[in-house]
Amino acid sequence: MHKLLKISWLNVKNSVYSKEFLLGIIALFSYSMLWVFLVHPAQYRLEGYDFEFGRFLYVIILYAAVCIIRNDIRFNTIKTIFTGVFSRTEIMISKGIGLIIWGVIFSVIVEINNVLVSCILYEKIGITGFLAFNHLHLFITYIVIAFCMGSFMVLIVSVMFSEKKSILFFIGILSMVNFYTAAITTFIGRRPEIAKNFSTYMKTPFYNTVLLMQGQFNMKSVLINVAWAVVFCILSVFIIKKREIK
Amino acid sequence: MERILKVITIDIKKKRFLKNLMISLFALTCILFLCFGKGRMVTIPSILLQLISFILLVIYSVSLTQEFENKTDKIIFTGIFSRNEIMVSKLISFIVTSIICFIFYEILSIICNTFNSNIFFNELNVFFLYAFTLGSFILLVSVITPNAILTGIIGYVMYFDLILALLNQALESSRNEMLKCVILNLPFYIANTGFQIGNYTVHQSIIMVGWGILFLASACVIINRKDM
Repeated sequence: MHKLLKISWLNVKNSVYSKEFLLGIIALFSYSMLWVFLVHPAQYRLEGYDFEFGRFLYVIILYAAVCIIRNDIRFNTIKTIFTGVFSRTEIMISKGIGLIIWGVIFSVIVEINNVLVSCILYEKIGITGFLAFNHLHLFITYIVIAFCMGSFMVLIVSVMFSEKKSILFFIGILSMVNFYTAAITTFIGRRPEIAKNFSTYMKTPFYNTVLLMQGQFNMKSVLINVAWAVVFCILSVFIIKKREIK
Repeated sequence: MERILKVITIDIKKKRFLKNLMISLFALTCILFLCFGKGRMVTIPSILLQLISFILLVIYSVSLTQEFENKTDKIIFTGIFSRNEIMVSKLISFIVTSIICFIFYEILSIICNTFNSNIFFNELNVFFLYAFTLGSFILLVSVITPNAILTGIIGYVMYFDLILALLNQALESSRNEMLKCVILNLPFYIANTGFQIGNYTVHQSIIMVGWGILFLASACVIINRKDM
């Protein structure tokens, strides 16, 4: 177990130190600062800025999850790791742990953004607004999102393997779905009676991810997302085990 | 003349150029028909239009970056054609892809009874300009970063939902006229808002062409200086 943890940490560390991740973080904070300086809508509190930041971060989460397995395919180390001393299941578990580590890193990044936003808009939010924010919920939210959507992307990559086009198409479509689901959650929040029309969609991880990102923390959404994540992980382990790695 | 014709067809003649595009278009249309059925057929073309913008983004992002990833860039950029010609041929293949999507979209509109002959040429213009500006932007990004997925994500962030949400909010809440003027002249704002409604005004078309030329020129300058 100790060795698995080490592998997953090294895996994540390599991606964190990459140029792409640095570029992503710069873009992420620039986007957030554009909201703060350029737009600053009157009705927005810290939760609002947090949500806009989360929308962009979601795209990066998807990319990070793709990288966790695709980097091995790109750099041709896939043969080495899947035919080494660890079994394929163990390697996939280490990838799953890697996703949770990503979740921790992302929640720290969101916290840094929260501090920045509250400092810049000190008259409107300030230190009281920052302290009033539920930090534990935020922490759990991003770990769950990274784990759930990350394992979904890992599943997609293990099915597609080196099909760049399909992977990219899925990232685009998932980001679009995430973007427009916000309208559905807000609509249901205003008129709870229409929830029954969306009952199937409300059980998917896409809906619950948006709900969590909007700050409407509830245990049901967390459990649904974790359950989906476990299903995705098991499926991807199954596929990788059956796959011939050339 | 023969050389120009060759430049135009270098990329189009590639294997599986048409096959993948047609398969994805047909597959998505079938899924849409299954989801919406006969009752709501009128909504299918507009949803397909949204998906087409994604398909175009994906195809553009992969086109040049795959040369770098498959290490064929040395061959194509040091062959008989100049680097500028290769870039132009890529852009022409993007425009051809877009026109094929346009034809598919119009056929689907006829099937779904939403075809309107008055806006036919407007829509053709939109598909053409969209391919030109987005294509040159993607070429510029692909020259800088040879990673296909990263290129696609940059394209998505700069042209699609995220930036549009930001710019729309800025237009609504800002009182600064100067800022509004800048936003309305950005290709990032114009490209997809115009594409979804199927119309660019003359002013917007000129801006799109201008930005497209700027992106293409920068991409050509960078690729010419690049050490292969």
